[in-house]
Amino acid sequence: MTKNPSISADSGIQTPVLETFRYDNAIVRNFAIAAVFWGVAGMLVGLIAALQLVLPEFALWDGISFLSFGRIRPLHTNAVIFAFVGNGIFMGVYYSLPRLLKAPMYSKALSAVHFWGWQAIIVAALITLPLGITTGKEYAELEWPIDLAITLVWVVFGLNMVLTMLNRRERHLYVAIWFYIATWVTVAVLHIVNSLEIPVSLTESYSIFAGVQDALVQWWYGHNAVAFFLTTPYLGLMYYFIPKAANRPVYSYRLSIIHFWALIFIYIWAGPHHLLYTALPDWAQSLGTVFSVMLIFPSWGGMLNGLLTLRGAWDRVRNDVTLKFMVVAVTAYGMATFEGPMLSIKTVNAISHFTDWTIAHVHVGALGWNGFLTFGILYWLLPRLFRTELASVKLANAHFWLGTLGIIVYALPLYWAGFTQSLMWKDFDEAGDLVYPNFLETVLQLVPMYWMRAVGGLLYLAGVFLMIYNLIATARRGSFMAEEEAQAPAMAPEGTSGHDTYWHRRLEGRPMQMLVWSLVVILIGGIIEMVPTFMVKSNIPTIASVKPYTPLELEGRDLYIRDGCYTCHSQMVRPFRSETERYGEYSKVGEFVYDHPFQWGSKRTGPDLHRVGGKYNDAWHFNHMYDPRITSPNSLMPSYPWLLENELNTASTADKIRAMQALGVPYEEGYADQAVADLEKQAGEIVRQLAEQGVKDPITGEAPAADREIIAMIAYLQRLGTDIKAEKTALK
Amino acid sequence: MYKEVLRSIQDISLFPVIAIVIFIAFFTVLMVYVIRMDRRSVKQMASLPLDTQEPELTPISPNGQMH
Repeated sequence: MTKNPSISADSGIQTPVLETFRYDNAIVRNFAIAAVFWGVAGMLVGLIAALQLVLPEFALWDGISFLSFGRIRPLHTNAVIFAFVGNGIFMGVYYSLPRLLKAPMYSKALSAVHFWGWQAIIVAALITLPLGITTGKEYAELEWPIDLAITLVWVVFGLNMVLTMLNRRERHLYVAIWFYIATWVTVAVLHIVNSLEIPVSLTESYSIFAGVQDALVQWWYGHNAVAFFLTTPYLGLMYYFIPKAANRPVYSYRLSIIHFWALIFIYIWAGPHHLLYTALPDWAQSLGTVFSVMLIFPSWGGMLNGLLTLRGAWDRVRNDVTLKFMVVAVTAYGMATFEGPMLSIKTVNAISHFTDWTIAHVHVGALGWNGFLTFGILYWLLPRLFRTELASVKLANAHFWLGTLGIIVYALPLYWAGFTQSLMWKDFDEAGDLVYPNFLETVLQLVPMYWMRAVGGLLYLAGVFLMIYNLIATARRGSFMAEEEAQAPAMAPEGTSGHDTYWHRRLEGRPMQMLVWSLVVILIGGIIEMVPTFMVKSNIPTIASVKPYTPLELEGRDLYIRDGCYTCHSQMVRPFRSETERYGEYSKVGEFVYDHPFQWGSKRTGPDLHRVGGKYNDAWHFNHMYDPRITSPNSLMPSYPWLLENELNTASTADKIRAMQALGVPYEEGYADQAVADLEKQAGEIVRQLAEQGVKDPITGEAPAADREIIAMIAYLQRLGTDIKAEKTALK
Repeated sequence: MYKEVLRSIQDISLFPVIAIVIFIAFFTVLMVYVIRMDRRSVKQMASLPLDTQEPELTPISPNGQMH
């Protein structure tokens, strides 16, 4: 049934001529399959990573480089965010957008390029991340050729959307579409700015930003990846699919307008809350906190708008499995967006940051909000694409309860773990000494919680398998409708609708202006936070004794990035007594000026490493990397035998020095040519010391060779945080 | 340190004023617009998702099996 909304019932002057067109359901089905497929893959990798934390010596992954935690964890996050949720977004957009605009997607060819391009990017990630090909920036780990591909595919997606909008038969852009537009434009800006890097080879690059600036850009990106990839597009889906599933309009359309503008205006400022108590300038931290706290208003406004859509229909939630999933999803959104502002308050953040509390928080969002909304949509959508009822409502209900239980069993132990570890870190005895000076003690305390988390993940994944069985059974029973015929009159020319032409109505009728205004609104926050931090570069307190890395240390740093050490170790000693007692002098902004990219980390499953240089001797590091349990009994850290086996690749060392010079790192003119010679000299010195300390290579049984990767890693670790120890801090 | 950096910017005292003006103006305009919206058009826009009807689903036959 179609009607002409642009001609009011009482005008009665003209009978609209109906045009016939066809919606493409095949692309929707394909994105749905991809979302489920990659969802399973991403969750499975998450489960493996969870098990690795409690069974580091399990034969399936122990000592295998491409399955080590540091390389698997980025694969998990990227797969869940960009493959599972990404395909989920596209599934929902390709279904709802044409129907809201009463026009098919502009080009099936563009849709196909978008679909296959996105899947190819995911496959590329699946190959490169386990190989350790990474930029070392969280959720932006993919290397520059893949970054370019992402940009291209994103442009194709945008083009397809905008051209569809220009061919539409419905003048007004429903609020869901505004969320899609804001998502597209903001993700484009975030991706491009955070991926600015200088290539060294096809698989290596350095971020053009260093230290504190890189941190600010990264978390402006990282936070807004949550905001504009995991939140705004899914809010668009919420505003479309909850009214559809409940068969009633959204509770308040006015509130949805406020929700939209307030959310995109405020969200973009909140990134610095990931950097509280770090070396980021205080004013930027405060801005991040203030805006994060404000975020609760639009977030909860939107949540209530979603929930209140069901007013008067709550009895249906008992029987309708789609609505059950959606209600829990929106509730999880409410919980996560209450927790977010709370975690952004500095005193709370002092406890939560670097602990499992953050992991629990993001999983309430990912499993609850993104996961459950996706499942709810799938249970609603698949029967409609295949024109039959859901095969088994019972199984879907079982999925609902398994999933809900899974979220609880996952999240609660990790909240417990977060509090436990943080309190142990900060525990002093009466003499003023740390009660748990050995970091490992605070980790081993968490092992039971880590086991429970793995069980929670398993329950959740088991539910997903029930859903897959159920959806396949539904598809088999029904007949797929690849194209759906619809009719609507052409869009009435402007001014004939009899309504006012108030500016926002005109804005709603013009997708391009909407796009530009969304861009302006999101740029304000980013510019105000970033420009001063960049402009006052010369005023960032530089420390005279901080020197660029030697070629060997630089290579070691690249291995540190390759093996994802930053996924468990921070390099940021916060100015708390509990941290300076444990690690040493707190981290200064001037110490990171040559760090392309920064490696401050966001989670401490292992201790902070910023002051690890000189703390242990070379032999300790050698043995510890070979098998951490030699030096630290019961450690949860993976072993890195390949560092002892692999020869250090120095083919691009000179190019790396040149790239660093191009980024302003003050190596002497022409230094690149002598870099390898210097590298070998330093490696020889380390090997000589290892021999003095009586170290034998456990694989060959002989003295360690100078040309192995482990030597570079030792050089880097021993350099970390030592520059300011050498001399008294001197402010320029 | 950052205070010295900020102080060195000309007319820095104007910045917070500009910020609050932008902020209040943004939300005032938004509120005025939302309150002034035409009731009928709001209703019409809110019902856009329900404007298209999905085809009827074939119900499961009484002896319908899972396959």
